[in-house]
Amino acid sequence: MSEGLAPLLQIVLVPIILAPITYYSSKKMGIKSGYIAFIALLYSSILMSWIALSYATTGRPIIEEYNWAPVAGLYFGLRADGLSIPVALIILLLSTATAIYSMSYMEHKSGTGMYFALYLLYAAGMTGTVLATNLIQFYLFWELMLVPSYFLIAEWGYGDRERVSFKYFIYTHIGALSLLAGILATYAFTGTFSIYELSYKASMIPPEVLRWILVAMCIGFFVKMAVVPLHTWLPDAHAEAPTPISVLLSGVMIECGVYAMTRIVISPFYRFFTSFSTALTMLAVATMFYGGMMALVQSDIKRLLAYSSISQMGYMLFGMSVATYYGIMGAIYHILSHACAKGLLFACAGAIMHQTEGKRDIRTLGGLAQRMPVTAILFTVGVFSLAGVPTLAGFISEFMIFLGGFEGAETTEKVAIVIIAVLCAALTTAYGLWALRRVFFGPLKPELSEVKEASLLMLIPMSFLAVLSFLFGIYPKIPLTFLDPWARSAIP
Amino acid sequence: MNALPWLCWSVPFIGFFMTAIAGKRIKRIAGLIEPSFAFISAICAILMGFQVFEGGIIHEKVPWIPVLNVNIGVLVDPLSAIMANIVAWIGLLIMIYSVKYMEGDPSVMRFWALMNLFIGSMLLLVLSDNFIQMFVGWELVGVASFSLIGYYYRDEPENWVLNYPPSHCAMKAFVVTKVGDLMMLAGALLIYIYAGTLDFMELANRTDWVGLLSSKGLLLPALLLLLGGPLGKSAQFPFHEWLPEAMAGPTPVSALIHAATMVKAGVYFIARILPILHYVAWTMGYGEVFAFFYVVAIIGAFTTFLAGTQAMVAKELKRILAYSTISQIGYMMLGLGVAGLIKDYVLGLAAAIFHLMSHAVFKALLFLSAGSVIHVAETKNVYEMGGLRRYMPITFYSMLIGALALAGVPPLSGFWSKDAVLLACALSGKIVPLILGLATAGVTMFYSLRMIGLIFLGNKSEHLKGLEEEGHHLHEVHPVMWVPYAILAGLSIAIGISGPFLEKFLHHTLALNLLSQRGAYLELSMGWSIKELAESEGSMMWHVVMPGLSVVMLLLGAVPAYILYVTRSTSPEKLVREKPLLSSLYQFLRMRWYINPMYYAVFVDGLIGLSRGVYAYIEDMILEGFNNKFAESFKAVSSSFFRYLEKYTFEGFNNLMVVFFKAASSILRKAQTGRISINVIEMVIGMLLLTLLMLGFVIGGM
Repeated sequence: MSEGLAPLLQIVLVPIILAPITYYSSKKMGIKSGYIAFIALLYSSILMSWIALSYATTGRPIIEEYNWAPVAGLYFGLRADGLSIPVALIILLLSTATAIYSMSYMEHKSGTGMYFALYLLYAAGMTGTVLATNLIQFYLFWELMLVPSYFLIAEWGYGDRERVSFKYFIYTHIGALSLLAGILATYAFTGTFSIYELSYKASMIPPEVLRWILVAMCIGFFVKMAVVPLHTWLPDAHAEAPTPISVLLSGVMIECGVYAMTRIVISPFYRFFTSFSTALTMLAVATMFYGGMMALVQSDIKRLLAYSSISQMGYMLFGMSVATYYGIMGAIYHILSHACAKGLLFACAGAIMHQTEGKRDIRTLGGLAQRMPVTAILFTVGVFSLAGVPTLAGFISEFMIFLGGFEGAETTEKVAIVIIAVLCAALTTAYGLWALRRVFFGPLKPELSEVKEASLLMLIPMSFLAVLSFLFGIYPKIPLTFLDPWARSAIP
Repeated sequence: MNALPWLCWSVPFIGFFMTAIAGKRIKRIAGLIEPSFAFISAICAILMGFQVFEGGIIHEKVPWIPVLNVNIGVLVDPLSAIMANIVAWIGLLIMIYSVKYMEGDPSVMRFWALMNLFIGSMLLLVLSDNFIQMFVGWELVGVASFSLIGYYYRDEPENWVLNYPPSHCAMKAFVVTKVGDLMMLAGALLIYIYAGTLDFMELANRTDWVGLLSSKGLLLPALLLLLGGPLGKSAQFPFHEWLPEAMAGPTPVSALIHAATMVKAGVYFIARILPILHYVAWTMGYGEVFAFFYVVAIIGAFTTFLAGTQAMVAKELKRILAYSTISQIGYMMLGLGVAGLIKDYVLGLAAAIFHLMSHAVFKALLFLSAGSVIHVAETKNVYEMGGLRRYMPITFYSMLIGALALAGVPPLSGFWSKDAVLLACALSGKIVPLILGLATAGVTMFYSLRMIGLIFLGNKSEHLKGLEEEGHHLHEVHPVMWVPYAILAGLSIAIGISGPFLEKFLHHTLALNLLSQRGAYLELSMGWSIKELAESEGSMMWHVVMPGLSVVMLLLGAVPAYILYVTRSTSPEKLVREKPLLSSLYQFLRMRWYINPMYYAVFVDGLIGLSRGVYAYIEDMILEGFNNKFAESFKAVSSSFFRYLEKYTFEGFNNLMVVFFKAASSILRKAQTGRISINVIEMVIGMLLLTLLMLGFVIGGM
């Protein structure tokens, strides 16, 4: 890797720099300014894939560091290793695909320039969060993904969007402040902001303080991950956000919480974290069931998917909380599967709303498979992936998560908890297939008889996500090339 | 590398992809192309079978997920060779039948694609050498069945099953089986943690995992969890309720589900792990495995009776056959369960596989001919048929052979295989399953005869007369349709005639299984059986008594059915109406022992109701209420702070200060009078005070 190119910096900066350009160009280009956003993200994705390839061949992490505020001991660092590469790559791929999707979605809406500018910032914020090497930089990117998404929901959302976006902002911001408190406390004891120095400086923090630091940080991440009972912002925000943003919110943003928890809490403080394991496992199972049950009774299709995301975050939390080799790997793998599957499902929901003039109540839909067969097939793929059907990514990740659960269960009670967690997937199947049936099967509602299949600008990114789901389900080797060496080194 | 097993399962998958992609372009020649995928598989299967019987087990693998120690492999031993042949050949006949049956269906290519997927997944399942890969096939079978049961997804009223639309039936099938599958997955993961592998061969050869599991008290739980999958897929109690509704799809699909794919998967899986478990129980001495075997046997026996009785009162032709499938699979489970309870487990294993084989043939035959009958009579209700014998002689004789084989009338196929199962059961000395099994033999005879009588004998129903008046001509179906089931009828007879030899052959070949590398054990097991049979008078006695008992049961079932439905000298309706006990029994059976309504009440309405309640009270009222309350109280506190603290206290203090200084200054101002005399006095007072102060310092300093 040549020094001068600074590929990681480009990955983060190119979208940020192009954001204002996208805004100004929209005055002339209109909706076509979306292509600038698309190209910027495509460029970043390609760079990231290149980095992934080079990591796969050399096996060495790629690190870039720049002076930022040396007096305060701050460096602006970016690091791509076995954990951050797959997550950053899926963020970029999903953002790229959704950028095309947005162009069809934003067709008849105003303010497209601002939309795409904010969209770029949002994507850059998520990527930066994943690549950051020190906690202050991490925190800045963490907030960078909050602010643009707030405006995106408040401006282009549905329903009671001002209130919903406000709630979203307040909730996640309080979470972020709790996280900041944790970060500053860590600095007070260790004298470093570097995430990678934390693991061997962890012993400098007295255990009774460390407990509270971890609690503060975990609250921050749990709000982002929408763990029950800190989840109430999510169903509103994900349901009322413009659909491409829902794709990103559910597909990758809340997963940043999973990534960050693995990176900042579990990996450096592993030994200490395991003492929380049982309690967090229970919380995870509660989240899985609660989200699933709520999804079962929703009549709004986007709200249903939002609750399903909560349930899926429960799976990831479960994998992390058991804190075993397979469990954590499964949780990170589930980021990928969920990004593809839930992204796909939200995109399908958006396509339906776009084609039926905004119908999103399941009770007003029905029999759409006759009019939108491709969307129906793609939706089915998404549901089956969530339900953990083999040859789709969801199977591999759920398999690893539960394997990890049994791996760490040394008592009979813990085994029982894991078995309950496994059976929760039946609930996923139930709400998924029920939604599928009510939207796509059965007799076609007469008022829907004129509905047409979604445009190619929507179907291509959706199919791309479906293909990714199959790819990760049939060749799990691809993500595991990165995750396995990392997990081996990080988990004792 | 042996290409045959790989080809065998992958060709139908290629067919699936080709059909899905090329779709409309090959629609014209679909009737030629589509069965040919199954045909290639069938040829591979038979060649593979010869290789196995000559040269032993084929086992090959390539890595798939090295991190998880998971391979893709094929394992062809006699068990999987037999299964693969059943799946491929029966599948082929059903595909040929479908060419005519599905003619003119607008979305027939979807049907073909999914049928290929179905057969391919089932072959993948039976040819897998490890659990994970088998589970892939297992779930794909589920997906294919979901899509095919819900084939008529538009839910036109004529495709409804009672009051369930096809899309509901598909969902029911998938969700119910999924619960079982997840249990199985959990069980397998538990084993994986201790064994480090899920390769069947390795699990059989390194049995140290059993001790580890047992020491934690997890051996029996793991095995019972593992049982969930087979019970779900094979529609056994308590997961049996999905199968009666699974007939919502086209009839060839039902034939495939019932005869070759799907419901046989569970039996296959238990047969697959049976030798390992038997070894664990008998040689290694882990007693808890006996409990597992007993559970399998008792569930099988109970299900066989449960479903058999429901078939006695069912009104829809396909529903009768569906209940009968559940019931017959129960026999297979019973055979496998008791196999573990006797020393010569191959006896039970062979009996179960023999019954699976003969059931595959006669059930495919029954479904295909039922399809023809439904096609011609344009109704599914057996009470709207009658007298069809004259118009459809080939179908009549084929179906009669099928029904008699199902009932186990000697010397047709079902007689030998059912007898073998009951014999194994008797040898194990378990009385309850034996009684249930024998009773069901009578029940089976009853409903088989009833079905034939109602469809083909007696007078034409009003419905059929109406059809004829409308100008419909009742006639035999097209040869493409009847040839497949005529072949199956021939096979039923052939299996029946060669029954005892076939049983011996199976007993001999199935001894070659996962344990064959533990050669000593194999001989031991065979030795036991010979010794057992020679020594114990009891077993010899059973060999004679069992067929006799079966025949008695058959007569017990046949006589009432003959009176009620063949000669029709007494009307069953009248009988039920007159006897209150019979009428409540009839109602009990019609309501499926009230199990189905109970499941809906608890797992569907109950769960949804509970979720609605949680949504309304916890999510909306408490959590959302908390948010709103919190925001409101924050606002209220802030505004009261503003009012009382900010406005009242701080502002008040400010104002107070102003007033005070104003007052103070107005007083002090009066001191500034400007008169010299007062100034001088003030100066003197000041100087005095200063002097006093200084004096104080001096004194204090000393």
